[in-house]
Amino acid sequence: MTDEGKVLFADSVGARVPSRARAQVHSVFLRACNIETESGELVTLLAAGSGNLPHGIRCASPIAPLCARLRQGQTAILEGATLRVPTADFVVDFSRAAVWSGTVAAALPGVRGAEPQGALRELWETLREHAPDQGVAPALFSSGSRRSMLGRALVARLAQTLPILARATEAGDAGAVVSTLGALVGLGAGLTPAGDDLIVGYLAALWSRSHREPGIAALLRALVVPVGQLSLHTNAISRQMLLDALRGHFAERLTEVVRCVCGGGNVAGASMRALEIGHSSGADVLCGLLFGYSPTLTAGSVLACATENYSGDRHAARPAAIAF
Amino acid sequence: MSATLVKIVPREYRDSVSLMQLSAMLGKLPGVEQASAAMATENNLALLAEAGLRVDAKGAGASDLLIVVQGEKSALPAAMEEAMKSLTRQTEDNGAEARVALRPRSIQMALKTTPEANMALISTPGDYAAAEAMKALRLGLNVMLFSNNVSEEEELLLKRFARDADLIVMGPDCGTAIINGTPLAFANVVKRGPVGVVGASGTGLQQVTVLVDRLGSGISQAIGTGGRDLHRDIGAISMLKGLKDLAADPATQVIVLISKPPAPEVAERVLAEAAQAGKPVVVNFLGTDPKQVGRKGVHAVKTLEDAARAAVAIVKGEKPRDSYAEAPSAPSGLPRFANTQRYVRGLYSGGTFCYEATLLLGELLGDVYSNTPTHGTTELADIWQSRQHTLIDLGDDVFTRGRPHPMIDYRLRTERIAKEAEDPETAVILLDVVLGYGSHMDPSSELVPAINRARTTASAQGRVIVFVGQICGTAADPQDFARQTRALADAGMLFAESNAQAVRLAAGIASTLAPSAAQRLRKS
Repeated sequence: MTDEGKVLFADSVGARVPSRARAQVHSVFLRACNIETESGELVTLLAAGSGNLPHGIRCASPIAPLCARLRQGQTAILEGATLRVPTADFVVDFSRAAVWSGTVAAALPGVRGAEPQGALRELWETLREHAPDQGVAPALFSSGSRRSMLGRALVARLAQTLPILARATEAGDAGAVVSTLGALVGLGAGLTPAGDDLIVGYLAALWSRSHREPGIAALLRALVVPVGQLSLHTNAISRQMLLDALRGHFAERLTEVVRCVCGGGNVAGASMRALEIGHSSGADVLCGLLFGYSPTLTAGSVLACATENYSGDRHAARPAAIAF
Repeated sequence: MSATLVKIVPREYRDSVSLMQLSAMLGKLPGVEQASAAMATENNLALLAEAGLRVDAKGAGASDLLIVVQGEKSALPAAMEEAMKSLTRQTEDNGAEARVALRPRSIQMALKTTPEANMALISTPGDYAAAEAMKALRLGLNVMLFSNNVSEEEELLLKRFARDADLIVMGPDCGTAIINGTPLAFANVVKRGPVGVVGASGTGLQQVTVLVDRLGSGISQAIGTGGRDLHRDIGAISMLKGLKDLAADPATQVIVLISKPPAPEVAERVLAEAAQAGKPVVVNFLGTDPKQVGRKGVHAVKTLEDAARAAVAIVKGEKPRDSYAEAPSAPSGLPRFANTQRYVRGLYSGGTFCYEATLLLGELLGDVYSNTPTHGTTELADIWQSRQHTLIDLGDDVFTRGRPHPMIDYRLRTERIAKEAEDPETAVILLDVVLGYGSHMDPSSELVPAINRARTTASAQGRVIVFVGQICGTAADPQDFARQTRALADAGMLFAESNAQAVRLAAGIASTLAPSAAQRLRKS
C-alpha cells in the first residue's frame, strides 16, 4: 500500500481475532498498531515479516505509512473480514488471509515423550550467550556487575519468587502459583513488563507439558480465572498476551521454539528469532519457557546467581551449565 | 541530599527499546543518579520502592508511563524536560520514518534501483546471513559480510562460490573496509593514495590505514577478509583474491597484508602469491617471526605500526626498515608511585590491539595475563579480576553478550577503569580509543570522567595512576580528533602514536617500578 492507497491486504490472521467488533485505535508503533474492541480485546495489526500473534492481523506489506495516519482513539470497525478506520480512510482486507493458530498443542502433534534434555540445554546455552543483560536473564546467568539498582531489585524479587513458584508448580498447588504470579504481573521494564513475558513463557511450557502430565493440565485449568484477574494489574497489551496464554495461544516465534524443543528442530535458531522481540521481551519469554519446563533446576540457577550477587563469590555459585 | 522527581504520562505506549533508551539517556544526564521509564504497574511501583526510589504516583495506572529521575534536586526538572522532549522527538521520528519512501526489502529490489552496484553489505543475524550472501553472489555482487555467527562450513561454501565467479566475500565478521574511498562499518576517514591493504583483522586494518594517512600517504583500498580467512580450511581465499585485485589495480603501488598467525601452509601459499604480485608487499602476521616470513618481494614486519611505516617508506622510494621500534623508556616527570604499584592494566576495545599488546608486553615485561592470551602469556583465570600485568579484550564475546561492542558503548570499560583504580597494584592503565564511523561519537565524554574518578579513588589512598593511550583516528573522522585528543590530554592521558608505542611507553613506566621488569626490558 502506498500513502495514497486505501486497501491493505493481510496474508494471515490469528485464530482469536474477533469476527465482528466496534473498536478504537489503542496504540501505534512503526511496525504494529493495536485496536481495542469495546469488550477490551486487543487486535494487533502487524507489518509484513512480523511473527504472527493469536490476536494479530499480519499485512502483506509494510504498514508504516498507515501507522503515520493513525491516532489513539480513532474509531475502528471489524466486520466482514475487514478492519476499517474510517477517519484514517483505510481498510485492511483479510478475507483471503490464512488463519493462523498459535496453540502449542497444534505445534506438538503426537508428542508423548519427555522434552529432549539436549534441546533444553541448547535453549539454556543460547540464552546464556545472547540474552541481554536486562530483564529476567540476569537472574539466571549474570554476574550482576553492571546492574542498576532497579535491575538488582528485579533480580532480588525473582530470586524470592521463582523458587516458590517452582515448588508450587511441581506440587500442582494452584493457590500458591497464583499468589507468586501476583508478584510478577506487571513487574519490570518494557512495554510488556519482564514479569509478564516470563509468565507467558512459563504458561507455554505448562501447555506443552499438559499433553502428558494430567496434573499440569489440571493446574492450567485452575489458573484461568484467577490469573485472568491478575492480568488487570498490567497494561492492556500485556493483558491480552496473558489472556491468550492462559487459553493456550502464543506468539508464533514462541510456538516455534516450543516446536523445536519438543520436536527436535533447531532450538538455537528459533530462539535467536524469538530473542529479536522487543528489547528483552523475547529473552524474558524464553526464560519463562525454560523455567516452565524445568522449574526446580531453573530456580536453582536463580538462587545460585543470587548467592553470588550477595556474597560476591563468583566461583562459588555461578551456574556454568544446568544438568538438564 | 538526593531528590526524586516523578512524571506520569497517561496512556503512553512506547516500545521496549525506546523505553530502555530513554532510561539510559536520562541516567547519563548531569546530576542524575538513576532514572527509570517503565509502565506504572503496582508491582513496578513496589519495585521502585525496593530500589530506594519511593515515588508518589497517585492516580497512575498500569497503562500509564512512569518516568522517575533521582539525583541532585536542581538537575531534575531539566532532566524531566529532556525526557518529555525525547518522547516528542521519538513520535516525530516515527512519523518521519513512516513518510519516507519504502526502502528496498531485498537485494534484488536494491539492485533494481541501483543497477550499477557491484557490492552488497550484509548485516543480518547469523542464521540468515549466509543465505543472503549467497543471494548476493548469485546476483554477481561482491559481498561484505558484517554478520558473525556464520559457520566455517558456510564461509567456505560462500568463498568457493565467490572464487569461481571471480568475486570476493569480505567476512564473515568483517567489521572494517574502505572501498573506493568509502569507509564501511567501523572504519576511519583516510586520504586516498597508493597503499592497498588486505587484513583479516578489523582494528588491524584501522591502525594501518590511520597511520598511513598520518604519515602523509593514503589508501587505495582496504579489504577485510574476516578473521578465519587464513585458517587451514578456508585457505585465505579472500586474502588471495584481495591480493590479486590490488596487484592488478593501477592505483595501488604497495600492498600490505595483515593477519594473526595463519595456518603454516596457508601462510606459505599467501607469501608465494605475494612474492609474485609484481609490486612490493609488506606483511604483518602478528605473532610470527618476520625472519621466517620475509622473502624476495615480501617485506615482513612485527607490528602494525611497522607495516604502515614500511609501506609509506616504499611509496617514498626509501628502503623499508626491519623495525621502527625504539627502546622503551619512561617519560620524565612521572609522579611518585606507591610501593604497592607495579603493574600495567590494559583495557582494550580493539581485539587486534589487545592481541598485539599482549605479544609486545609479554616480550617486554613477562608475567602478562589476558582473556585472549598469546604465546608466552597466561590466560586469566577470572576475567573480572586482573592479575599482575593484565590486558583485557573487552570486545571478546564473553563481554559483549547482549551489549553493544565496547567501541560503541564505553560503560563496561569505564566500570573496569574504576575497578582497576581500586587495586593498589595498578600503576598504569593502558587504553585504545578508536575513532571513525561506527565507533562512539564522543569517547572523551565517557573516558574523561572515568579517568578523573579513578584518579580521585587512587589519590584518596595515597596513590597515583598513569593513563597511557593511543587514539586510532584521523583529523577527518567524525568525532573531531583534535577535540578528543585535547580533552584526554587535559585529563592527563599520555599519548603514543600507535598501539605498539603505547605498549612500549607503558612497559617503560612499569620498568621503573620493579627491578626484575627493568632487567628484562634491558635484555629485550
